[in-house]
Amino acid sequence: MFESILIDIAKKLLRDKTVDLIIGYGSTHYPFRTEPIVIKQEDQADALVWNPFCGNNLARYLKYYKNTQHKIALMVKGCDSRAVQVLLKEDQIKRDRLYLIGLSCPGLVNHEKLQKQFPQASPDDFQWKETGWFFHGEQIDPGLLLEETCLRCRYPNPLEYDQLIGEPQTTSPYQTYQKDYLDPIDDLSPEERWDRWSKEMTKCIRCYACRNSCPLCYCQECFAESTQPQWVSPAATPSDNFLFHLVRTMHMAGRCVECGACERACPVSIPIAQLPLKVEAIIREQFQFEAGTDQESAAPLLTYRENDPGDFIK
Amino acid sequence: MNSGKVTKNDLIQWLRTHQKNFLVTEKVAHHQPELLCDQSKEIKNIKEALFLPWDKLFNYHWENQQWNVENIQPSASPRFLMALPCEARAIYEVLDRVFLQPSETESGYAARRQGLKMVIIGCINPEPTCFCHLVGGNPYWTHPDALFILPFHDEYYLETNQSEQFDIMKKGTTLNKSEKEEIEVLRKQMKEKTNQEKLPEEVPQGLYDLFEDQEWEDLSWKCLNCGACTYLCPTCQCFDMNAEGRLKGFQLKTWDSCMFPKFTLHASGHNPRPTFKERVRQRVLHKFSYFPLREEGRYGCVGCGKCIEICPVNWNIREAVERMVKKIGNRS
Amino acid sequence: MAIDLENKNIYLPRLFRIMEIIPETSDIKTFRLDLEGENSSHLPGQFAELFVPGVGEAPISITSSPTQKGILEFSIKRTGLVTSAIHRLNSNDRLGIRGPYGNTFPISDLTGQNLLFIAGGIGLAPLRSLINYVLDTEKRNQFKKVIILYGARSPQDLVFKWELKKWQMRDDITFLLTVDRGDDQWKGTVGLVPNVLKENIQVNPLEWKSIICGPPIMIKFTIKALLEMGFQPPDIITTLEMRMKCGLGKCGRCNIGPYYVCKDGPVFTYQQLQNIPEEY
Repeated sequence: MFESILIDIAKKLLRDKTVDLIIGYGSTHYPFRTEPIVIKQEDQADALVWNPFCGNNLARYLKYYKNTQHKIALMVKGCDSRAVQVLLKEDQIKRDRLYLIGLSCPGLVNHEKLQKQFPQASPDDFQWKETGWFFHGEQIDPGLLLEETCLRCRYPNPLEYDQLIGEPQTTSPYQTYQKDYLDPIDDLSPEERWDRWSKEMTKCIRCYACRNSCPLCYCQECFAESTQPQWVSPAATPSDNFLFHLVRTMHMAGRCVECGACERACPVSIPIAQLPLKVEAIIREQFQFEAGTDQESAAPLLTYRENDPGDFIK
Repeated sequence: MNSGKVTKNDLIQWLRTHQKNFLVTEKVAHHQPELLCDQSKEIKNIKEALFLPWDKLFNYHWENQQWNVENIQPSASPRFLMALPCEARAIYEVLDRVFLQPSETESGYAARRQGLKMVIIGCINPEPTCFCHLVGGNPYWTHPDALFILPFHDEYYLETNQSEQFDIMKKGTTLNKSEKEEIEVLRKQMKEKTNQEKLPEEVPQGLYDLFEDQEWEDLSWKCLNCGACTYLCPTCQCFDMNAEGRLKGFQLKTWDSCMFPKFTLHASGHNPRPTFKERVRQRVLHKFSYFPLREEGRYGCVGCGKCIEICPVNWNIREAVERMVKKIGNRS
Repeated sequence: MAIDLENKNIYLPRLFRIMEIIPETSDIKTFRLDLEGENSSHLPGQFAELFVPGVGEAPISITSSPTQKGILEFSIKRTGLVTSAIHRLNSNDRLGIRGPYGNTFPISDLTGQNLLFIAGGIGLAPLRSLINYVLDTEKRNQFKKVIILYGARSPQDLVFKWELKKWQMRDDITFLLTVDRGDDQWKGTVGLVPNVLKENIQVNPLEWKSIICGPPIMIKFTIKALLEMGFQPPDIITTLEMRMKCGLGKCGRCNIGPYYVCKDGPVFTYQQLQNIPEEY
């Protein structure tokens, strides 16, 4: 139902030449997977889809058009719209070049959870309605299926859009589940946290899928690839991996929009989103700031205020 | 060629006896979890056993007002490696050809390879992402030096040329005539499927001729240019060498990826592959055109589908190749 | 399967002492290494990987000829991390060498032929190995006429000035020197290499082989001029520059088309270059 609305909107945008291209989600040959697609002609718009497997953060592709003249339409969920806001604030693209097709999102489905709960399911078994999940007509607990980052989502509705598809969500998953993503970690002692993360860092192969799927990692040359000087060794040892991830998290501090694309991209299933999300939780508490939620407040790590929290100075 | 069948108990017992020296790939752990023991080590990518993610080549240090280098003598204890036919093919047909060339043999790889005994598990439930037939493989592929195990009725069929390496063969009972025929028929069916589905012979040269085609730009747009596909691919063999340590250190060899922007960056600043289009094209052509043109038609891809499975944007190399292959012969 | 287990570490460099450093231009130095009684086994056209411990490796073409006994010479332009580190070395320091790698100039094809060498700037370095091989007293009569055309941006950018004088004085070669821009002291020819080629060299292209090296733009226009003069693509030989690491055709970095530049090159004929994508 949403898809036909979406396709009509897309066709009209291209027909009226409001935009030169549309970046959206398309389907693949594999039942529960979508892919990012770019559409330049009206007849290609039939390929667009919108379903709970649209996991990529499409704002990541805006960096290709930074210096071109194209007008771009972009499909944005709540978290994606926050990413666009941050990019606008950081001067990476101008608002008048964008047409944001907002999507009211009740959360994305995690493939591993899906396999576990419903190993034989096919897409036709599911109905996705705005109020929740239905499997063969019966409502199921989204907590069983949603991505971990989605269970803690505070902004299910796009904050900036030109047109919205679907009714706005009336409640956020965070309000429903009251879970903080980091509860399992916050309960651990520092030594236990170190052990836990050391194990995860042993798995990391430094493929940079997390960094490359993030819309806010748009540096021309990443510090991890610099050789003059070399900040971190290319070897995928646990200590070098730690260094890469911790420095990247610090670079994202106050800018991460908590979309979870990094975690979904990781080929070795490291819950890597927990790192920037923890930093964002701290920033929320200390600076009362959330990235991408408004165009006015200044990013905390780029500004100085006299009353900045300083209780770590002893 | 010796063959036989063993009961599940006997096989599990044998695996348990050797479990400390057993490496098992993730694909096998996923397909046949009953063959995994507590102390066998699971590796995500078969090439980790031979072509390490990072490796020391030699040491150097500054002493007595001059530089000194010291060789590192590689050694490896004997181990078993259990893998699916596609992954094993990656070793025999691709990585061995690159790293074990005579007079240019890499000693580290050779030492690890020497001590490795391959156990190939016939693949009985391929995944939607698999396409081994397309590139000349099949789910019952094996090498005479390896032990081939196939789930067969309630038992396991075994086959090898090297019975002295695999003492499980002693427990094997002979198959009767109809069982032997059944195996023959299964094998034949798989080979025929490969013959039907294999990419036509003119593909390597044909893809090369399509180098300037516009389609590469459309195909490569969504690629994130991370290295996930290359790092989880069992055949990708590109590596980097860097000096690690100032006055005392070692020459470091690490995995590298042709998808990274700095892969072909010259010191002068010139980069022959500046954008994602050139790099994606390079990856496809290297596996499906350049490698076969150099290596008598052997593809640099074994069709395991791992890259398609883990790609964050579902970039599908099989679809890409099929799309370009359709264009071969249509050029004016 | 039989594995060739010589246990030889193919990546281990040997260290040799720098005998002499000759400054050529503001950013090019020639390093002469003492092979301590050994003679180099390389052939003209090959390169070696030079290793500076603590910094890294760089592929540099060997500029000395194998007929020069007991020494090895490299001309290095300071461009990046490793070459800068090499420039900071002094005489008596030791430098790591791994090699020789690459294919060679096709000596058997060039034997008994007339040879036209065209070089620009530091491009003379790889050619010099072949030139000195050809000019060696024991080899000279295996080749017929020799013309060397060498040009640089300015008189300060000429390399091997100490050797050019010797070439100018020989009577068994024709030596043409030019600069793009002269200065007050310059009394020689002024002009771009491709132009000087067209104006001064009249030869029967079917009886000559041409070996060229230089900056990409010079190669492009020189090849154009040679083709206009009637040279055939298999008779134009050049050597490519490419980012390399292992030098052995394994690491994949220098792969273009079905070739590995470090193994199937760096010497290619123009005919071969016409068939590979311009990813260099």
